[in-house]
Amino acid sequence: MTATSQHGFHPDAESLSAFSEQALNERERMEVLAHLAVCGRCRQVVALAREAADAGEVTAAARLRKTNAPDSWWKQWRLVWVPTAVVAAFAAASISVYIERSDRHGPDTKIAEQNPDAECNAAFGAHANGASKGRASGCRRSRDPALAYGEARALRRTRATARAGAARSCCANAVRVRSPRAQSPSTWSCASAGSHARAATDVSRR
Amino acid sequence: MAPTESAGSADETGIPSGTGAPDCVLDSALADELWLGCDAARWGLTRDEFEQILLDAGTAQNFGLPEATTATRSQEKTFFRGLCVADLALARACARGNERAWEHFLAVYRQPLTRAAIAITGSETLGRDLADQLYAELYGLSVRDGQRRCPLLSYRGRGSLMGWLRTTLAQRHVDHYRRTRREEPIEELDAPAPDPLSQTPARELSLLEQAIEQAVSSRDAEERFLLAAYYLDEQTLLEIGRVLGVHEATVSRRLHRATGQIRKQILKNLQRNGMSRRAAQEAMGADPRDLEVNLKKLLQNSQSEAFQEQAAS
Repeated sequence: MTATSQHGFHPDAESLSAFSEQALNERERMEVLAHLAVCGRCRQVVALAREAADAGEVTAAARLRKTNAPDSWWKQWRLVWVPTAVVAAFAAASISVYIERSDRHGPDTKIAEQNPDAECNAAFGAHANGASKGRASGCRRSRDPALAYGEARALRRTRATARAGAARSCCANAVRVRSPRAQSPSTWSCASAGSHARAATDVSRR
Repeated sequence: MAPTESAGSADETGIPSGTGAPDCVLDSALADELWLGCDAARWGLTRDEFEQILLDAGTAQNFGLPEATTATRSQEKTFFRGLCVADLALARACARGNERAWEHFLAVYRQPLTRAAIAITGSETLGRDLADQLYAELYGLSVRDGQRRCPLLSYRGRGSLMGWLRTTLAQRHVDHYRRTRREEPIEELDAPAPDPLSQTPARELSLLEQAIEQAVSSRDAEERFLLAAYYLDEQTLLEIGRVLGVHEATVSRRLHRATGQIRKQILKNLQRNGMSRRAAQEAMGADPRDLEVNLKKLLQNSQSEAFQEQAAS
């Protein structure tokens, strides 16, 4: 700790500056503090220097903010609209895929998958009634915007009829499929009768 | 144009010869580290000159230790590492008149120096004048005894160069203001008239004044600084906190504790001087306008020993 001759026995500018910047060791700090306690002039110096430092920091911070600020509104909005456009495009793609799938795997198609014969019959019936070309050819709902309302109703009626026919044919198939099973107990009983006869023959041989 | 660089006297070069302690040698590894870190070669300083600058800075301040103490190697290292070596090298190079150093100084410090001066004076015109005046001195335009004097030579690397510049500006402004202003004894002008209906006896008032003086003067330096800055200078808690490097809430707490302890100490002093506790408490309730205690004078009378010694020497 040195006192400058420039200011009598006051601490020099370096000591006061280092005190303000917490750069002194404890002993030096206490020396300066003891002087500041009794010297209004040095307290004023330290307070003013501190005030100037704070003002400089504020100015520097403001300059830094200005430097980091974007150049135009375009740069500001670029951060917003690019992700928004990406999200919107993804959403649109998702919706179109969903609609496409729902068209392919709609309720009629499910029925058709469950009852392929019925769908074929329905398609055949629709074709026979001449209700819709598209429906007859592709087994799909027509997307023709010119399709008249009456045609659509007729198509629905035809489809209902086709469902009923499909149900009947399914029942018939079921009957056809079930009949061998129905015969199986009798077959089993015949076989069993044969076995009994063979057993009886063996017994008679004995 | 910067002052010409010349191999003049020791004062001109800013490297006083023979001032370092003969037994003080800078550790080679540490010197390498500091030399590489401060970019001193850019300002035209040689390695030997740089070491000499560091040694001078250390010995002039006895490495931050009391004068009678001899620093150990470890203490010397700690001191050197705590220096703002880059700022010190730049300041000495500027003092020598190195052109590149001055260009760098101008680029980095000129504008902040002006802004600091404006902030200190509170006036753009006065601030610019103050900054220009200091800059002219730093540039070495003032000549005494045929030699150019540069205030940068008094910078020794404790704290930043910008902090040193700001404090130097503040010193000059305060000294100029104190010299030129017409000081009026505000205390005497504003001193209230004594209350004629005062009920406190004169003896008790005298004892109270003594007790207050004893209590205030017995506080440590930090508490006296807090009292002076807050009550005399009317600084805010935030301003005091920034000077001390603590939060304003800490300043408030310390201030509250200091006033509380002073109050207790005054009570004790009154009781020690023969008053009963009740009488002492009643005396504490005396009208402050009846007291002739000047806190400013009281604090100034308790002058710190360190600077009293320096003033005497």
